[in-house]
Amino acid sequence: MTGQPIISVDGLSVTYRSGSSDVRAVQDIALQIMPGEALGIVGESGSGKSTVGLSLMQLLPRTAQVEGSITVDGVDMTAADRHAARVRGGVIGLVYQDALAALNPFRRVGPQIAEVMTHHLGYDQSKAARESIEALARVGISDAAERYSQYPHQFSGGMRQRAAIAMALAAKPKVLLADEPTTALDVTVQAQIVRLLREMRSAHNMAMIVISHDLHVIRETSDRIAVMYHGRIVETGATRDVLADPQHPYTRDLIRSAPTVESPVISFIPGTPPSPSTSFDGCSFEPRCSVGRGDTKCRTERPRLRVVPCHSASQAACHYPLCEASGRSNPPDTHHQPEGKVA
Amino acid sequence: MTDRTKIQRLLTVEDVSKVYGDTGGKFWAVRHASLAVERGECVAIVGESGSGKTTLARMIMGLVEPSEGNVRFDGEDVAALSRRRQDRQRLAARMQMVFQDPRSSLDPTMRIDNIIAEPLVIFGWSAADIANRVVEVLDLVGLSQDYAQRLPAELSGGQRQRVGIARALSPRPDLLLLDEPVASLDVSMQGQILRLLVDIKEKTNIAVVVIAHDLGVVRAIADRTVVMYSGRIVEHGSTGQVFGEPIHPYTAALYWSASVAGERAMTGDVRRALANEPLPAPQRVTGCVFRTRCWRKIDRCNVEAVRVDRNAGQVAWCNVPLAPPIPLRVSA
Repeated sequence: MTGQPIISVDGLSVTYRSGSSDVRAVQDIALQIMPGEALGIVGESGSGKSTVGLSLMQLLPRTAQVEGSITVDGVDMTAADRHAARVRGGVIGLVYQDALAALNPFRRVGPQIAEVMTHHLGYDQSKAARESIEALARVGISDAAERYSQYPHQFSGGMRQRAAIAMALAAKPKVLLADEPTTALDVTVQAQIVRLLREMRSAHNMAMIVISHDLHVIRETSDRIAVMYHGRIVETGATRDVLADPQHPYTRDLIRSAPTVESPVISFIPGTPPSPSTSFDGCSFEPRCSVGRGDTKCRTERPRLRVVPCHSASQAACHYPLCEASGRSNPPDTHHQPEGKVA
Repeated sequence: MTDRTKIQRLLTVEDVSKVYGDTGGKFWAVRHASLAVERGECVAIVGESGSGKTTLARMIMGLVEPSEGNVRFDGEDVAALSRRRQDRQRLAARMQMVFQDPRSSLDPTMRIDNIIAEPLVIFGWSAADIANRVVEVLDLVGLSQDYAQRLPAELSGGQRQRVGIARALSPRPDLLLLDEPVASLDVSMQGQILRLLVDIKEKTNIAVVVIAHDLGVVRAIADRTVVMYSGRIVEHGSTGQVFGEPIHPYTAALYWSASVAGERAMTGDVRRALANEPLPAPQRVTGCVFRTRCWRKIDRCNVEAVRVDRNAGQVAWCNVPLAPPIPLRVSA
């Protein structure tokens, strides 16, 4: 993957003005996505992950104040409002958490997809109709011709998300942006949608950005990962490296926090994520950190995102990355299953 | 089962069904569900949307009256108790519920101590007893006494859920029913609440019923698991057995879908079958409810699903049960 990045974000900060207080949702973020590459952005509520997604599409509310630069397919998004409409849908296809929000409930599903094609690709009505039936079939909807003229309420939740993905792909975008694409779906359907996203990405040779709180989804869909906490990227690198050998204590504890069927161990991070309106002189994770809690440097000096010297594969914003801090770390609270309960 | 163990059972659900609509279009939200919960035990009801798990929970709590069958709490019929105000209060003191979203289930204008005290006021406790109990339960759920004077808006999501649990525990119930207790919480916070539930169960010997869709959560806290699909219980047994050696293909599909190795190991047949649409509601009255999405379906599944008993109380209803060793089994 060489050449120009399809998306380049530099020094991005987004502040929502609400009354007297400023909410700094995103602070000083840099991202580059190469054509065909998949980036996963993971974070909890309030981490700023969705704001990053909205910034790329120029879909932020008017109360948002944006600093820094966002270039999508060579277009400076912060400067040119009139280009945003071409980028939206045309260059970046968007899949939301809730497919019902993407599809108009009063219109038949097929024509909604066809409309994207007539608008962005200039297809005539009959070609757009033919192609959208194809598109429905490609995302795994059986009887696509029949489904074309049905309404969203006649689709199951999983099928609606498939249709929403078909619509996002209709204009042959270079990037698919999926914000919590599986959160509203049932477990067996989630796995199908994750697989579909992977298949569509390779079939269309697209870049992809997947935003999720669910590390499982990120692991299954992305090459690179950016872990966000309190508006900043705290760790980034190859998804496989970061998840197997995290360097930021937050990343490690987040991975441990989700009990899985394979590892049903209860573990958690003490305290609560800080509100976006709180500001810190030092590291915003310090009050909850098992490594740096109470440390003067962590409290007073903000760690910059940098290559971790003892672990060249990923970058972390931490004064005491885990490969250096092995002697300092206290394991987080865990609760192991009583003997004999796990098969 | 001997008579003695039967007497110990706190909650028994006997062949309950709930049907909505009339003869024109009947919808069976739950059909022929049976289960039992004992003191000191945590039972999870797992299912996807539309599986009937919430309706079953409401019948357990006496909020919905079963169309058929009955729910017995400590030997008494819950539906009958729920019809009379006095009996319903007596029942409510022993059976409490925690809701999914602590934001909408706590009155935003009430102080935390008053929220926790409210059930006790209704049950007629004295002011002194109430004050003592509020101190006790705040301590039990790990909230410092400073929180007593605050409002819900001043608390984080995890702290609010602790208040919801404290309120439910205040009248010293014998059974706690939690509907998706961690689904609305951030990942880093979920473990705090799960740990709290395990601790409370150990300290108080309370019976816990958890409704959940997240198998990781279920596996971390539940002694036994009941798997529901389209209104039917398709399998139940100890949590380790149900997920370690599932009998019903749906249970296996749930488990595989939720694990990285399982998802990768699913064959094309399994994947294609699971992508099919669920059985339409009117056809759910006969045969196996999972048949449209099952890769092992045979003709008999259109007509009936036979009961399969394995050792140690693991039960499923399936004509083509999976047998150990389970194909694609994911080692824990």
